[in-house]
Amino acid sequence: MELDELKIKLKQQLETDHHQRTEADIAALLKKKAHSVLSKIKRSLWFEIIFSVAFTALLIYVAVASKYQSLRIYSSSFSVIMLLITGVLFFLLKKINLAGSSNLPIRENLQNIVVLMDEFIRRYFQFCIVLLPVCIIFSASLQVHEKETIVEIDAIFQKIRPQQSYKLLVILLYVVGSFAGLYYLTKWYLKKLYGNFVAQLKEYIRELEETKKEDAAYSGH
Amino acid sequence: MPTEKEFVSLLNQHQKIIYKVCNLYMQSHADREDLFQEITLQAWKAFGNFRGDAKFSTWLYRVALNTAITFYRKEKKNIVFTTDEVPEQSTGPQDPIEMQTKAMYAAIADLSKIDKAIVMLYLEDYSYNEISDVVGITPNNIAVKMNRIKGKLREQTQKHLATV
Repeated sequence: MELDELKIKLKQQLETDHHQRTEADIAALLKKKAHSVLSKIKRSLWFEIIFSVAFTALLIYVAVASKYQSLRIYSSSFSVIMLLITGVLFFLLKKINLAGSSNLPIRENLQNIVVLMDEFIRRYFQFCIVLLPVCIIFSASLQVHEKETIVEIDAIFQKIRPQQSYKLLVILLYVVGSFAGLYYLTKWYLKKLYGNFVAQLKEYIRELEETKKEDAAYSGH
Repeated sequence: MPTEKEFVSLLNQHQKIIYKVCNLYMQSHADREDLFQEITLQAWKAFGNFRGDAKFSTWLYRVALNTAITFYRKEKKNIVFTTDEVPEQSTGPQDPIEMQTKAMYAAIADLSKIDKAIVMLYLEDYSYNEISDVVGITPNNIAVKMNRIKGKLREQTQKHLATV
């Protein structure tokens, strides 16, 4: 039997396992937390914005209170960078709020979500990858130009070994290790969190586009 | 400015739409409940954009299908959907129409999320133009897709019937 012949039966089938909810039940649902991917990203962005603001406040405190010039420069510079990051996070949040409406046609909605998620993943990755080498190079150059001895840092190196060559090796290993670790960890984390989902949405878009191409080719003949 | 009361009342009248979408996209009862909640929330969030130029039912289908297609949750082991999981109807299991319906229902469950959306609207007697408004591709493309889906369903139904 064909789909058309079973239409009514199938409609009945879809309506089974249905218990009527009251208006009070529905109103109660409106107070709960959304689990859509954009809601999750929004929550993640809010968490990062709060973290950025708190971290900026800490950096400003260090910039004012520290007795070392290098730490003051480092903290004040990074507080500016953190403010810029917060601005970008707010921009992403605003874009999601504007575009993330689920009453669009399915294709358009999928495209919007994919664009937003791609941008979120790209920016997140860029921040993670760029910040570490910038931090290390910046702090190392400031450390070199620091007039006073920073007792805490020196103590760490004294514990390892006093030779200059060994110090350099440790720093190099630390930089390479941290960078590689961060690179792969961020990639893995983002793929696990959103990568597979974005790939699935792209597959749906491709499925919709495929018919479009075939139809265009068919019309052309 | 739409009020919550207005929205709740409208949704209450059309809640069957959400149930149908939940039944089509989710296999377990718990998943259907989760999806019902998510669709309700997304519909409430989008209700401010509802202008009333389209039927509420069409608008709700759009929100419900969008939510079901993009529903994001932690990966679970895929549950194989078999004809045994189709809700039982009143007539006996030997009824050929009943078996055909079960097999067709199972075949629909095997379709991709996009194809399911198109079938859902087709079952509701939406025209290709109306389906195209919801899906976002041209009526011609919908016709092409629908033909292909019918072919797939025919094939899959036979396979399901052969295994019973």
